[in-house]
Amino acid sequence: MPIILKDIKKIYPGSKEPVIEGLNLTIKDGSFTVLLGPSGCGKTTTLRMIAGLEDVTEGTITVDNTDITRMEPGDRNLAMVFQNYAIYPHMSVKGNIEFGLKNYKMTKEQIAQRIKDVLELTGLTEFANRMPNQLSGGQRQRVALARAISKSPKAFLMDEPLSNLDAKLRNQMRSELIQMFKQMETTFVYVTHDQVEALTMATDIVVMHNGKIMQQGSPKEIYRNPQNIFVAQFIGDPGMNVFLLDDGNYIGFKPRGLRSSGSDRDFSFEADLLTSEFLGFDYQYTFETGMGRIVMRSIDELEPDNHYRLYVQDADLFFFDKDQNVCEPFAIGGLKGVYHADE
Amino acid sequence: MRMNERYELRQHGKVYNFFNKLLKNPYFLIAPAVIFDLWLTIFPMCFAVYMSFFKWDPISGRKKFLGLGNFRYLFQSEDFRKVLSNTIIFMLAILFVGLLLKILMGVFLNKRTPLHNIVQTVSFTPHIIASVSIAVIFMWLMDPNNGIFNMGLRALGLPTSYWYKGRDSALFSIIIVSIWAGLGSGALRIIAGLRSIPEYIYEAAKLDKSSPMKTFFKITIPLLSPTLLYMVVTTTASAFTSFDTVKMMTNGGPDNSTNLIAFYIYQQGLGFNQYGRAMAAAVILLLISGALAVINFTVLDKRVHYQ
Amino acid sequence: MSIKKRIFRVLECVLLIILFVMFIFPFYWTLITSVKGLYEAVAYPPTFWPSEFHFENYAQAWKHADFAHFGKNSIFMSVGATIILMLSCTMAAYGFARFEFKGKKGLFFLMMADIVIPAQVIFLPIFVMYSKMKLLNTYASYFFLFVYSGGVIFFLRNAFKQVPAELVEAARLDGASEFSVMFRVMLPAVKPFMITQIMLSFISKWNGYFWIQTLTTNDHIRTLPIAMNRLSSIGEEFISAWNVTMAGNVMLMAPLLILYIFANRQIKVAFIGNGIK
Repeated sequence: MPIILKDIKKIYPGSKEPVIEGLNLTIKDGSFTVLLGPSGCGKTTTLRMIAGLEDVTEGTITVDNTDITRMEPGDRNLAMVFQNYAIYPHMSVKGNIEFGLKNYKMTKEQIAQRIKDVLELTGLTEFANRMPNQLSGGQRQRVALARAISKSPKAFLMDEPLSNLDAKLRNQMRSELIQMFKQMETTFVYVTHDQVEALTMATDIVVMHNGKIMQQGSPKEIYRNPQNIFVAQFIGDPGMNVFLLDDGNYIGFKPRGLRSSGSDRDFSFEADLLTSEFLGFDYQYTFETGMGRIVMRSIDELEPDNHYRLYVQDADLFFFDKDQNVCEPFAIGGLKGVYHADE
Repeated sequence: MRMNERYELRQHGKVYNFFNKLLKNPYFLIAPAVIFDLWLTIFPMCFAVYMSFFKWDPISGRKKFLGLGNFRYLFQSEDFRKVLSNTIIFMLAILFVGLLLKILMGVFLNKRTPLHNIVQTVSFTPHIIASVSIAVIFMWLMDPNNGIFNMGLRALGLPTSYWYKGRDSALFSIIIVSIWAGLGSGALRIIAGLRSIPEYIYEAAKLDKSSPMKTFFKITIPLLSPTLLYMVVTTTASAFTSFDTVKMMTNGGPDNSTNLIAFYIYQQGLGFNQYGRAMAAAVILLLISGALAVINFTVLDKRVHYQ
Repeated sequence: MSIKKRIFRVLECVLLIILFVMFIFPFYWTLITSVKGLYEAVAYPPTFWPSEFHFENYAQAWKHADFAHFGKNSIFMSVGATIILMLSCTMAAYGFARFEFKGKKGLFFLMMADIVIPAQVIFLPIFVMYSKMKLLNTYASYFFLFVYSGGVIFFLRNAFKQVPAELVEAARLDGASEFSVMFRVMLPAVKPFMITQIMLSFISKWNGYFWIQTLTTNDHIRTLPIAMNRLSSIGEEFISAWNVTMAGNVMLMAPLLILYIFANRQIKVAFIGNGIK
């Protein structure tokens, strides 16, 4: 039961510029697909179009080979978890779950049974009669999940559901979500701007930028083989260093691919060490090359305020053509400057 | 897993779906309010402006175009000039004396002890009962023969007053009643304004060694200015629409000494059947409230974002 | 405690007591007068506690000013107008808060009309219209005035706007009908604001004087404030029966004063806003 978006175009009423144009996306059945990208890239709009909360200007969305493009949100059999949970504040935990179930052809007993099951699954049984304002942030998050699960939807849509939680709780919820995904055997579509969430949870990552898909693939593919400069610089902690060359092509290397010693055959250049940050396991260094700043991650301790020659081995080099897409290795000409995709 | 069982959505009847659609239609939702707004507010206003250019005898129904004749009449008439001066005296009194007392009382009552709380609550009472009731109470208190006010003055050996029945004291009496009735709610508004000023600003002032006087005039008053400006505008507007107390206590008398513009319109219109003149006065009132609304929406809107 | 502080404390208490007396005395005097005899009410020196209680003043006021008729009108018209006002203004506020539609800005501006236009400007045209349409002295003519209120629509629109859009979206994804969205999600979410408006509306209708005074020519739909007006003139012109007048006044004020005694916090918040808490 894949979700297929075909030639999607979205123009918000009152504006002329499309936020999304020519978007084609297949979300595989049973996958945990994460839509990843910086804010304003169209990932949330895409999710809301699947949910039916935004009109689709052009194109079609099909689930299960059924065209749902113009269907009411309630008829799509999808469940959504919102960033701020969107729990009904005047209903108890039980009432929140019941509200949605009442719209289905279920008997009272079936509803009661379903509520009981869901509360058990999410560990909320003892809070069934609590009001939302008596719950902690994590518990509210669980109520939102319970409400979504109860409908046994064709797919779960999640819009940055963990962004309102503190760091510790976020880690915990992350592993709970992975468990839940394995148990439910249903498609998850998850929107986030946090690459750690994407890399840890997803089976499929869709990197978006300016309303377009930059790359789709498994977390490993995305991390190891970025298809273009945008993905290369967006993924990673921090992103890839890229040099623009005199001939208009680009070369890049990850901060961890940069070394302070090497051989003459390696690609190398001169730089001054500006700052060094101790990160526990390793260091993060910022260098000024004279053409812009680059970043290095290394376990080696370097002397501050010093001049260095930095090396990158061939295997660690990435080559991009004039269109900023990955290409075959080429002979490296003169360096023109450091390049940042988001500038 | 049992939970993976899926159910069909419930279907609703035709009637239900029809009304369901109506609830989604904003034009349907706002229609009653819009229609009655047009019928009983917008249209009458336009009609009032139109009528102000005519001499209109409601009994015969005859209309005669006068142009600005009604306005000319008003500004030449001794009575209307008296009405305007009464209204302005009334406005200035409740604005300056009233507002000053409200600020003093608000600052004084801004504490959370039970005693302060009781006085707050009691002083707010006039705001929730009918202006008619207040007028009757004060007619009794100010009764020249048997009222407790004159009895008190007599007991102290002071000269008594005719209060609302005396030509020289009637407007003064109306002003006293209006200030008394508005004091509690005004003080409460000040208190609400004071409590909206964050404590840390006062703490910062303390660290700056600001004296209590300086803190009040340089910090409290400026930060209270949105509240104060709002009160100035609403108090001014209320002076121009004040009707109930005048109608109850004095009927504009004696000798027009308490005739305010709102009462004058009523008196000319329904009392003397001078529709044209009444509406000309109404247009003047409309211009004043329009100007106040502009002040309210422009100056005040900006000042509210002061913090 | 230093002496200076103690003096301030005493002064503060004295001032509080003066203020208390200033605001409670008129009501106390009204109540006391209402149970005094005819002669005791006007006696000099005045008595601050009645020597004998004359509760028949109330019966007299009731009969004299036809409280049965006016009181019935007061209740029926205050409750009716409040229901009508809440219904139509809630609908309109909901429409303005939740939907985008053509002409919204202009229509909303139109909605603010009665905040700017005083009743004194428009009562005469309405009087003329009503008399031409033979609507004068009908209950309908009164209720029509309260179908629309710019202030209430403005207030409730802001209340509805505070409800997060996600709540409605969640309900829509739950397959909820518009009925459910409105009655089970939106209205419960703005309940405190609705209660505030119901209270304010009832109080202002109960106390209302201007419209009744100007848009009626007989007693058919007149309310208690008009009865009070008549009672006061009887009181002062003929026999100076202030005790009876005050008995009537107590009856007019009683419902709201009782309400205020039990809900003074809520009523203060309703009028002044949350800042007063």
